[in-house]
Amino acid sequence: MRTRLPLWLAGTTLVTACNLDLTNPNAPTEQDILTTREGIVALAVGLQARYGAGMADFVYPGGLVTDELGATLAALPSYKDVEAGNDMINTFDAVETPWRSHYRTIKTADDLLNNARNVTLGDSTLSGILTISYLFKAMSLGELLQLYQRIPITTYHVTAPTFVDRATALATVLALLDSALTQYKAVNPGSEFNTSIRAAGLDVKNTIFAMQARYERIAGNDAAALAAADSVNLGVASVMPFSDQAINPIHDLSNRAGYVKPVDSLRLQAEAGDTLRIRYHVTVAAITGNLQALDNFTQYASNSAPIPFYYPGEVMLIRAEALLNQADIPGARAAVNAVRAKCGGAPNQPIACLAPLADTLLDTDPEIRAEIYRQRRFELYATGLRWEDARRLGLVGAGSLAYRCWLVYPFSERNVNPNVPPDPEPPQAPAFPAVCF
Amino acid sequence: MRLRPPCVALLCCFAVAPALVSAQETGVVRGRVTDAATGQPVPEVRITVTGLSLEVTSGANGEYLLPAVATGPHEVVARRVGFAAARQTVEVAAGQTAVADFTLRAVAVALDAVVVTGAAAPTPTRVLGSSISVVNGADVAESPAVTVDAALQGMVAGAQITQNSGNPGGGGVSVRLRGTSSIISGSEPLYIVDGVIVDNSSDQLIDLGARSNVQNRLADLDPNDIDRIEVIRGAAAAALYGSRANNGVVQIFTKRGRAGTSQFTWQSRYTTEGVARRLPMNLYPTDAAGNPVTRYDYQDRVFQSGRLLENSLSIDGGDDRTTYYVGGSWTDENGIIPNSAASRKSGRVNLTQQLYPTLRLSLGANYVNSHDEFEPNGEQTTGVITAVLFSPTTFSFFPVNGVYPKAPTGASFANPLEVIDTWKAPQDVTRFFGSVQARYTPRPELAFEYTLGYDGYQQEVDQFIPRGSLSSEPTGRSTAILRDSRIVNSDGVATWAHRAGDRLELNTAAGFNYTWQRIATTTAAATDLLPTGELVSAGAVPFAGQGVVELITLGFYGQETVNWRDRLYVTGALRWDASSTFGPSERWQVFPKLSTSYVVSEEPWFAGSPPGRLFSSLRVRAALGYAGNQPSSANAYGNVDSYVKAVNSGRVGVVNSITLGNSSLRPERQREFEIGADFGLRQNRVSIEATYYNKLVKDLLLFRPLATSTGYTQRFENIGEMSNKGFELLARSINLETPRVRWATTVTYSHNRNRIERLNVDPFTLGYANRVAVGQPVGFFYGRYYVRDANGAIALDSLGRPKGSVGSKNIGDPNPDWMASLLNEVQLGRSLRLRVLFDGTVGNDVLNFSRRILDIFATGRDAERELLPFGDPNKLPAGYLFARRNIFEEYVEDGSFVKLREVSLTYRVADALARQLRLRAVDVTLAGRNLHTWTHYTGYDPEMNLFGQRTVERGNDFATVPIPRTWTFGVRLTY
Repeated sequence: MRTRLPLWLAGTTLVTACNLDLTNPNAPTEQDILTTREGIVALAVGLQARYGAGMADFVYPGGLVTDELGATLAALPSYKDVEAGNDMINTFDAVETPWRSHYRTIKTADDLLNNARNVTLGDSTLSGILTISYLFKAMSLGELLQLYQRIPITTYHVTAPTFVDRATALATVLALLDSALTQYKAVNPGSEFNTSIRAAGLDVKNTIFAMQARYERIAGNDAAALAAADSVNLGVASVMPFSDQAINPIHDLSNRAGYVKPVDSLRLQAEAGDTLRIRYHVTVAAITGNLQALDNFTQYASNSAPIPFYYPGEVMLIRAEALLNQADIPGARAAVNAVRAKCGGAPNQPIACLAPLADTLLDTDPEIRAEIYRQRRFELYATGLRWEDARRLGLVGAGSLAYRCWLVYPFSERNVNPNVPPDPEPPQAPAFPAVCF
Repeated sequence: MRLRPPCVALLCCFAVAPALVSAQETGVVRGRVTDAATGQPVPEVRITVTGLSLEVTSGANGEYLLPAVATGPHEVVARRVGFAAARQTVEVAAGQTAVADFTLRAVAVALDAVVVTGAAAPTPTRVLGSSISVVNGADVAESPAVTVDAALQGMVAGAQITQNSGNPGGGGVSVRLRGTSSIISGSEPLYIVDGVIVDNSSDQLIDLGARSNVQNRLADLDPNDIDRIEVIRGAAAAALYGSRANNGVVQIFTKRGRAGTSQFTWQSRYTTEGVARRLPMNLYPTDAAGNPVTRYDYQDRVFQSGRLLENSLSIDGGDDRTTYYVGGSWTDENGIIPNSAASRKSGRVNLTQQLYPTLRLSLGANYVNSHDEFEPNGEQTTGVITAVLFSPTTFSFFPVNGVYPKAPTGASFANPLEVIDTWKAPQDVTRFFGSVQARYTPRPELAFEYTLGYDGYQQEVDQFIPRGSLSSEPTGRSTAILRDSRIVNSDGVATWAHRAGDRLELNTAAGFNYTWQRIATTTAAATDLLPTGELVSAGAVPFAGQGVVELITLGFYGQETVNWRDRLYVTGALRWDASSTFGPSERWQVFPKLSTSYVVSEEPWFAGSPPGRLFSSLRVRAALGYAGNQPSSANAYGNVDSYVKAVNSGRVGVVNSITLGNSSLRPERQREFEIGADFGLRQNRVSIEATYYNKLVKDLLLFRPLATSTGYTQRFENIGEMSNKGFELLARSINLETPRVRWATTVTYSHNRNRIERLNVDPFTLGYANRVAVGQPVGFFYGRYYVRDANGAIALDSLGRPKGSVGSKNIGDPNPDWMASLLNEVQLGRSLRLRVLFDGTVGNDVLNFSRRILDIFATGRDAERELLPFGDPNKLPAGYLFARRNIFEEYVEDGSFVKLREVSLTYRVADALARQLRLRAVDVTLAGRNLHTWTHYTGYDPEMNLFGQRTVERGNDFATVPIPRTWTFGVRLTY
């Protein structure tokens, strides 16, 4: 009988041997995720985590190119170069990371938009997942078009995506937001979505309206921007939550890595009495930076500090600007003064609590417009929106508010994709005021 | 589950294995083997009986016993490397003992040595079309090297064997056979012990500054247990190992014992270890302002003399049905860095039982338990030597009131004295190798062999950083990483020898090989430690992680050797291989080989022909073969698309990995062609083996970048080609042989040209400056260089400091132009044996990163020149050294060296005295290793490598523990 032992051993091992399709125990596969209910739900959670992880990537390039953020002495040379405008190399983090991060978020949204319907989820859960997929894809594309001159909009399962101009990209963003709203209204996302998928702190409906207001304003559609702004419930906050497991990325870059911090000019150039709002944004630190003295972030001082998707003040200022563009001087004046006079409201927003400006100081279009932009600077500090303001105001060029119009295209895209357009500007800051559009 | 056709076929093949043949009448053959020149007994001679699967080895007294030989006339053959094979015919009668004594003549030609590796069955070297190296176990056991692989240094032509550091327990050894054959999938050969694939990983579990573990797991083997080692160097020889053999194969055979009275061998060795060379430090008596300062050379404190104690006991013996080998050893080493240590306890039992005349069962079991204490070094900023390089020599690290001053360089730097005194990084390994082998020979010409093998170990590496000893880790940190590795091998082979007439013999072999491997790694760590307590549980903030890799490789092969008149051999083989790590569409791979060998000197016309007058033997050979390489375990799942964890609102979600899966992943594939000749001169007292080889590796696995707008960054793909072309020479000579003196010399020479032929991705740099680019050797140094004037002098700025380029270029190559070794062995009379081994490499550059750090922090002797008074001819302007810190050209140095690798003198106490002590033999040995290095290199040692076993990152010296110079005194008693 002993002779049978090797036979038996050989036989058994061979039977097991022939199965060579091992599963990866460390990570689920595409099939696990895209074809199962649990996978789609996890992916929807991941979508929001992904967008959250990339929120700093929109803030810091614009912050460094304008007057908002500065590099510390300890920063990697690339941050110093981006701040100084010496050389914008296409491998810099400030150039690469927003692109990679946002397109990975878009890939995640596309995964959901293309697969969630094929999985049995229940209408209300499915609706919630589709709504946030449209919303986060729109926000990601919207932020990309504020950093790069031309961007690809169709990237799902495409090897070498083609680039479209800004108008086309903007139209895509607005269409996605429309889809988000339509989906949201068609089937109200149910309790499963709200309790186990939706980011705690995300107000879906108001964020869609606020984003519609933001991108309609960028597109120059005043009526639509106004309508959207009016739809936002300003009493509600909408924020992305963070934790020790999912660290606030602005805190990470600013405090933990210690590379990029607020420039002290925000504090020094604020009007007398604007202390509440400044204190919301920054804490006096007078750190010697690479080029400028730096302060610390107040609201992003911990791993778990939330980042607002938008500030109510932004919505109010979009409203003021739209009214002004429609020549409604009293309405615009009231709206901009409402931002100054805001003394309370939803949490997680700066509160100026300043006296309204006298009518005499705000009775012409230029006066109101100037005040709107001033309020945008102090209200919307470190939201990444200031670069766009610099572009549309023509405040771009050497010695101006922003020293260049756009980031160069990242190396990781240019290296592989033949469709990348030429860089819009030379790597060094141009010596003359630039026209960006 | 669905069976693939070959699986079914193989099952059938084994199911119909015929029943055992009943016991026959047998007798015994015994005898003694002596040296023809000296009359001394020759141990470790392999005695076989032609046509039977019997094999025994002679003992220390040269005696052997062949049990259970079937009655009738038999040809008995005695073979040992270094001697000409001898044959004689004996008549075996039932129950009787036949005597066959042999006197062996020493020769340098080894045509009749029998090898197994790469050949499917025991095969004389003369049959092989590719070259193979065989190293005797005695050479390994007698070497003062700590590990088996280090003991092979200088012994194998075409092998670049590098000890990467001087850490205790072996220090991590890299073996490159015929150059580098991969870029990111590992270039260490496949290791096999007694037919069972074993793990030789060196993954970095805890960061001790070397980017790989400071020990490779081959260190678990006890050199005393080794019978012999066979090394095959490329695809031409290794095709039968399929998709794992690109880097060559090293097969280690352990001692199996021999029939005869039990023999006890006790060996004790004591070794002292010392730092061969120290870095000159800045000990200038004043600072830059001319004020007197106290300076310290902390090399006095971070180095000590180490010591190593080894004790081993082995017993072997057996009778006509059973042979056994039992070996146990215990080593205890204190390294040259204080509080670094290594100890190993090993026990092995090998048992061979002839169950029936036709069935032999062999068991092997080896249990190893080792404990090491490591100290951080290298690029780890808390490293002991690192801190010495990084800290101004004016800084006092000595504790004040029990408090160690913090290193002045930065928050992540530590006080080296505090690290030595209070930090801990222990490693514990428990390992078991086991094998069961059944060999069934129903007829003399037909054999079935099945081997089931297991190699499992648990490795635990911990690190304890006490509270308050590091500014960047203020609350301390405790980490425990547990690795569990298991390999199961299941191999079967059937061989059939068939004579077709007088002139033709056919040898057919068919087999399968199945390997299952699982590597699981569990990490636990915590910060905010209690003031006392070193375990993870002493921390308030815990972290945990887990990773599992599972791999299955399945292969089938067939081989046919045609032997025409015992002088012309043609071998063809096919290996059909599958691995779970390949994409489903590419799963099954075919690796063919074809080789031929022609022993010209056995042609009747040869003796009278012109070459016959010059050569006493001549063989020409050629081989072509294919083999593969699998992705490293880090990329084991590159064939699937995977999603990774992403947390939001306390919920665990997923997003796509940035690496896109590749369902058409296949092995790196090597084609090797080799051609060579073996010459014997002066009645085979001189042998020369010359081999030219040409290897081309296609389908190199690399990460191809993807357009990041797709949401992915890269994809693991088969792109890139690399070639190695080279020449190897092995010459042995018995220079002198009289009854009183024998003097033999062995020379190896090899040169290899590596070239990246195709890449399909942009050139990239790994490590600090090792670059991968088309048209260049793998890992050449690429970095900034000096701007020079028209005369070639270094251009200086207005302050007299060197100007560096903004661009980079090729500034050196860590791959040697050629390597050579010279071994002289002298036997004087009966009692004295001397062995002297030199080896060296020429043309390899080393990036001396240690010197760069000395420049940046003005800690080296060069910095004294900046402090000299103005007017001194040696004065350098202030900031000169700092200005050149990024000009890597400055730090690329010629690392060519010749080492006096080994000297050993063994005295065998006179037999009469030994007998009075009731012992068979008493040997006393004095040996030294790494005794002297001739080199222009200015660092500790040109041979070290910061990056350990890594493939591309070679030749980097950065605060690595120097390889010690050792002296060993040993006594061996044989009873």
